[in-house]
Amino acid sequence: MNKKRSTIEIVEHLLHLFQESAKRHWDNRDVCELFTSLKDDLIPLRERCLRSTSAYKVAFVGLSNVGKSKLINALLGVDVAPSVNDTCTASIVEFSHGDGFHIVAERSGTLLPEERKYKCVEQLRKELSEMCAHGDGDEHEHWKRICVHIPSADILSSGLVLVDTPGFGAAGSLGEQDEKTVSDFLTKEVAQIFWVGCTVNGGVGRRELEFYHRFLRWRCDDLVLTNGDAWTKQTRKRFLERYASNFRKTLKVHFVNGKQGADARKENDINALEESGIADVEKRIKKLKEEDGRFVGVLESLNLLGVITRKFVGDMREGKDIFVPTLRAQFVEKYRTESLLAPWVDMMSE
Amino acid sequence: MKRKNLSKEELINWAKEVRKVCSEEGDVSSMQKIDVAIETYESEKFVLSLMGLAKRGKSTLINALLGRRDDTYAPIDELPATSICTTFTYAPEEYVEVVFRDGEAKRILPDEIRDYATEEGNPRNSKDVQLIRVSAPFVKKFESVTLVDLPGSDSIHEHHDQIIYQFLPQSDVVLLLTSARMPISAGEIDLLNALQENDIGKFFVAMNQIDSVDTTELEEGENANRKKLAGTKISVNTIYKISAKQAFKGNWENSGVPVLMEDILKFIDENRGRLVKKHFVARIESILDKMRKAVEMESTISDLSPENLSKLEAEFAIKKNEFEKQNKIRSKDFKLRWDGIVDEFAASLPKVRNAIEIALTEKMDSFGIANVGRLKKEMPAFFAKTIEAKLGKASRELEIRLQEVAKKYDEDCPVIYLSSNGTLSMVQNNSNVSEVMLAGTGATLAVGGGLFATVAGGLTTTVTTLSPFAAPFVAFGSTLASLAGGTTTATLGSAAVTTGIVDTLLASLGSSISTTATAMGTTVMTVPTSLALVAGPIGWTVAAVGLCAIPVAWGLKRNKDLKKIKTEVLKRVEIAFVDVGSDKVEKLKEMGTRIVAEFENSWSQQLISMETEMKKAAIHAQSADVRKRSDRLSKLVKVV
Repeated sequence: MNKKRSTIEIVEHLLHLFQESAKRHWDNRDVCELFTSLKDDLIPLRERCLRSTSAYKVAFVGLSNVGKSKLINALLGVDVAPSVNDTCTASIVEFSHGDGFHIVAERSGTLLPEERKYKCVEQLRKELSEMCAHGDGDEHEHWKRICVHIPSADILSSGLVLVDTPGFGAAGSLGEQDEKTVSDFLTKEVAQIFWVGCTVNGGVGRRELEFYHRFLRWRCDDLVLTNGDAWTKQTRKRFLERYASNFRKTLKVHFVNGKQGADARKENDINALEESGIADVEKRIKKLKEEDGRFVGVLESLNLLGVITRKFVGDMREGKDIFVPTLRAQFVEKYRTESLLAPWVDMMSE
Repeated sequence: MKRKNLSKEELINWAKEVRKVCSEEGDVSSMQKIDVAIETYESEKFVLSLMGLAKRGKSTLINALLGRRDDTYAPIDELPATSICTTFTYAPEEYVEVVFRDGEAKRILPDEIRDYATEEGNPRNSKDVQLIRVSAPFVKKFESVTLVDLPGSDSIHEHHDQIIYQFLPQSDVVLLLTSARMPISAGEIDLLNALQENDIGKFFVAMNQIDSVDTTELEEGENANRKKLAGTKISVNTIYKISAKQAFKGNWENSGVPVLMEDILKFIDENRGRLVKKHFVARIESILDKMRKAVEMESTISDLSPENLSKLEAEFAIKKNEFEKQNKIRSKDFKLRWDGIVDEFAASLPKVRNAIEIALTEKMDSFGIANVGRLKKEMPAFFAKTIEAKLGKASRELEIRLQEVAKKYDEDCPVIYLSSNGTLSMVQNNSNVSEVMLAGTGATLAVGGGLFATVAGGLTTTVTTLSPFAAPFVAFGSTLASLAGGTTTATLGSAAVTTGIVDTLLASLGSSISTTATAMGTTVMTVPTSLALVAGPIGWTVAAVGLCAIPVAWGLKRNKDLKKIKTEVLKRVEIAFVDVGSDKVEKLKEMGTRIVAEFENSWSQQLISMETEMKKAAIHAQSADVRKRSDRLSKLVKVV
């Protein structure tokens, strides 16, 4: 059985188990709340499994100027996304693999997309930053969508598409427009989201949290905080403690130092790359590169969820009895050998 | 005597007179406010507040301005730190005190400031701190300025925002700090708008953290900011560029701070007299305004002869009877209408259900046997969307109609009021007597009406018990209750009470977390689908149904037959409607009964308190010495 089918089965098996167990304990408020919350976490995972596998779009979302574009450049290994101290990136820019450097872009108001070829990345970048800048009020010049194709980025080589988005939370009517563009895009086309914030802003502010709850919660497993070196280990811990209740339990927080990462890559310094945190994010994305990897990602989320739930259930009076016994035994029997599901199996075994 | 031409001494004496009255009325909080206002006016201290988003360097700048090399007085942290308001005043000797919400003040050591002023040391302001007052021999140049450090806005800590907006009206000058690293954001524009609305004399805007960007980035940032500001109604002449950190480290010349402070001090010098006076008068007047109504009643009654007084009491008894009779009829009428609307909704359900079933069946038919796989994939989302579209519409209409009828019930309440010549009148609804409306504390000159907002708390608590998603509603309810209960410093809070809390509340539920309701506090909702975000007490009808989408998805997996899928889907629709039709409709009717109870209770309370006030005034009127006081009061009021 292929990875996709087996993973979906696991998720649905769990959902079924939760549903039946919740029914069994309909009068126990705590148990019901637990199962509702577990359902909350499982449904997006299931959705993710069902998404089209030909082009897996990973979007980078965050406030203006937190360093999304710089992060994407560090991951691509090439300086191509523009970054300016203004609300740059007015359009959504998709980066995918191509045979040469070219841009395929749709202008609003015209039917056919335009294609332009470039000899080198510098040329592409220059033109791209011009295209991305907000025009001075001239709406018609606006590019609806920009697809950048580059040949040399390893991370893009199996259908993975990285998407740079306009920052939200910017002031003014253009800011509002951007927000609508981004949210529409996220709802319709994106499979996975990396939320980007910055330690300089205190990590995550209220507006970002609102955005997260409205659009990101279902498809975001990762929060990347740039300028990570500004915070000590203790501060990072405090941040996680203070903010934990606002995020989904399975959200992973990464601290990166963009500049160190970019330098480390140029010098091929693996240790420095690791230190910068970029390597970590890279690993997460690389997993998504391969089809199977996308499902391993889901299983890893399930694993983490299992660990958390196991602790929770351990503290409950009813313990493993919150799960319907027959179904529980079925699950244990079937997935006994699946290492990533160990916490669940453990929690439900006699 | 025109107030404009009064000298400083005369104005202060006037304020002291007002204070005496407050003291006699036992209004401690107003007395405190007057004391602070007089002190500020006498010392001609200018209040310079620092505002901005979290992590913009406000505390760092304050430490630098105080001439400190450490952050004892204005603690700094890597995460948003400042959580309450701290004022810094020049004084020859150091004295730090914490003022708590209940008015108690406690002297503390500077090292302890952190324990009260930061989010780490005092999470969620569990220590109930109102503010911290620091007096010390700081830099003499800023002797005439009271510096105020405030929490950053737009952080996840909503109580920080409450503090900022409460303090806003008390600032004479505001310095808004933005960051050179990012363009000005919507949150900062919101702050600027709030400043304009509150008529803050002057605000300065400075881009901080210029030492973290290079010259190109700085230029780009400034241009971007100018463009953004140009698109608003806010006019800013100069955007200063500073680095608070550099100033803090002692590197003043390159920090840009001296230029900024010079301009601020210059402005203060040129406008001090005028603005300080203006703000002083405004503050005293707002207190007076509250008392004016109480005074008017007292003076009206004290002017009456004893026999007119007893006539008045008799008149009141009659009007009270009439009032209660009318309201009994109105309550019956309201309940009938309310129930009628709910019944109509219930009656429309079969049709809505039919429409939903047709839409779903059509969709399923359009797929055909070959596409069963795709149908299963798309069905859950379509199911949810259809239910939302058809049932959601009906629910929203229901809610609007219910709100309207409740509002009318409130607005059409008769009003009893005492006019200045000592006669008692009653009018049919409160739209004509806005001037004699409910006073804050103290005497009630009028009874009836204006309840919709104040009873909003009641509506919310009713909603709480009906909603399956109780938690977020409870949080709103208790925040509302505390606002409606009237905390002494809640300027924005009291404004919210009189301008339709329910709508703001419901709107914020609808958009999950609303940025306009900053002062009301928000709670993160953990509801499964976006369907739950339909605003209002009716939101739950759709949300409860939305939950059905999930089992549909799972159920479909097991069915390979198109026919079986159809049956499954239609079964779900039935379950949903049975639930809505029976259970929820009953609860809605209950809600109507509760509203009646709440309103009637409120009106009877008001009647009682008006009666008490009149009796009190009558007793006072008898004694000559109090007549003198009320004369004095009326003179004070007339001066204003």
